[in-house]
Amino acid sequence: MGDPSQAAAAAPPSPPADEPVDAAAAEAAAVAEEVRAVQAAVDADTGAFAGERLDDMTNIDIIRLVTAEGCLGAAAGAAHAPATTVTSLRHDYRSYPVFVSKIRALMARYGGIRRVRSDGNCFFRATAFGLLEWLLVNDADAECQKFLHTLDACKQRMVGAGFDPMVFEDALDMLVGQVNAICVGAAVPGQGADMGTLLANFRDDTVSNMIVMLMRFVTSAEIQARQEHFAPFVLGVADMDVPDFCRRFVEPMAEESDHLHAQALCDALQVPITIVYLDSHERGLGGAGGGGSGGAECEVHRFEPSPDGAGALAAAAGSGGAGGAAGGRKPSVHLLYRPGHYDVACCAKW
Amino acid sequence: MASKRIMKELEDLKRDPPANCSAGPVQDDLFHWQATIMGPADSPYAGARAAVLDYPFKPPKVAFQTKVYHPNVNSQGSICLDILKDQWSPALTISKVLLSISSLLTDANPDDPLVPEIAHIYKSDRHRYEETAREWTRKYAMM
Repeated sequence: MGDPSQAAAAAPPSPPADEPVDAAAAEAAAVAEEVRAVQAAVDADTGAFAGERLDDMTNIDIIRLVTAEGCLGAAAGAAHAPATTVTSLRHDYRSYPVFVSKIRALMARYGGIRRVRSDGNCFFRATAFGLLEWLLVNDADAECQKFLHTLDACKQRMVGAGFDPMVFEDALDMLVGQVNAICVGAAVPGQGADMGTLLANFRDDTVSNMIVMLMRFVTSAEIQARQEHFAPFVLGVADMDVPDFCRRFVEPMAEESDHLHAQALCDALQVPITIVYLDSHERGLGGAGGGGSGGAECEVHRFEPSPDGAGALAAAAGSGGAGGAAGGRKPSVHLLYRPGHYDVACCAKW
Repeated sequence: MASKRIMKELEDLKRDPPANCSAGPVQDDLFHWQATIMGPADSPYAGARAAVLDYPFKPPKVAFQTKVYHPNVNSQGSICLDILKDQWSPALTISKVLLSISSLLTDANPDDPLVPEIAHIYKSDRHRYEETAREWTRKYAMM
């Protein structure tokens, strides 16, 4: 919004100013101090988590922005989380004041992030995990049932788009099984799922990749079912028709995701996806947060599900659709985007 | 988990084999397949091996075991086919791969050759190309 704030934000990074304004100098000193603190904390962490290097992590791991109590809901979560701390995230960016400042702002909004393997599938992996985690943590039976109906609608779309059922059945059965287990709840040992089960599933290469594959098919089927809607966006990305685009850029593993993928998956699953951008743009978020204390904030983009999506049709068709509208909280997925990569942002505080 | 799908595909192939192809696991090893692929009458045909290791996330690795005279197949048996490389989609099946290879055998793609000399002959002297291809089939594949 304000020009002045933008100007102020834009000024500091340029060459070492001849006559530094006092406020800017103070901010710079504060950031430098924070950078030192981060470095110290990282050094401490390195000792504490000597055995846990990022390289060792698989599909989804946890970084706590703050102590993640209440984030995972249970001690069980912590036990299964080979937790590194946020400092490892800040460590990545310790030389970049803008990032340090944005991460500070991020900590006010989210309880933690879960680092997702960076292999081109991160958007799909993170979204699927975020949704299942929401269902688990919120213990929302009605939403679980609704999601199962949505998956059924997605199945119809996949068949309609010409997918051989053989290629998605296993993955679909598996995901339905996981949702059912979440629905049963951790109280029933051996049948119900808890945070540990969910994390274990997503760390298992085959299980996790099958879910990614299914999400890709669901996205592809959604795009193909609404070709007229999506064709202009496809044209903006590649000079090919919609089915070719899906075969080439949506279905194959490791093909990276764009806004198009995000919108289509959001529509199909009928779950809003909020993406928080952690990048080097120095634009403050203005109105949202508060005091213009000069700190840059992350930009936020929220994808809202279209009423034409597969899941919406399921809700409309399902006679028990009332369950979903029972006034409770609605599932949503929050992702942290850094250029080229998505992680799960969890425990939204807003 | 992944082998469940491979088993389904195998059953499907037995029940409804694609034209001009036959395929199955080598000695009950679900992850290594042996296939026989032919074009329509008189065109080249060959035996191939396929490893379906990180399947279906990655394409099956397919190579001819018999020598094939073809612009898109080199002397090691490697096949230049988009869906076996960057155009692979996990929505494809082994059956569809076999069909694609079969149609490649019939209709070569000389504009994206793996063996430029053969592609040149294919484009400049189709008769000679087909003669040689048939000869190679007789010599190396039919036994």
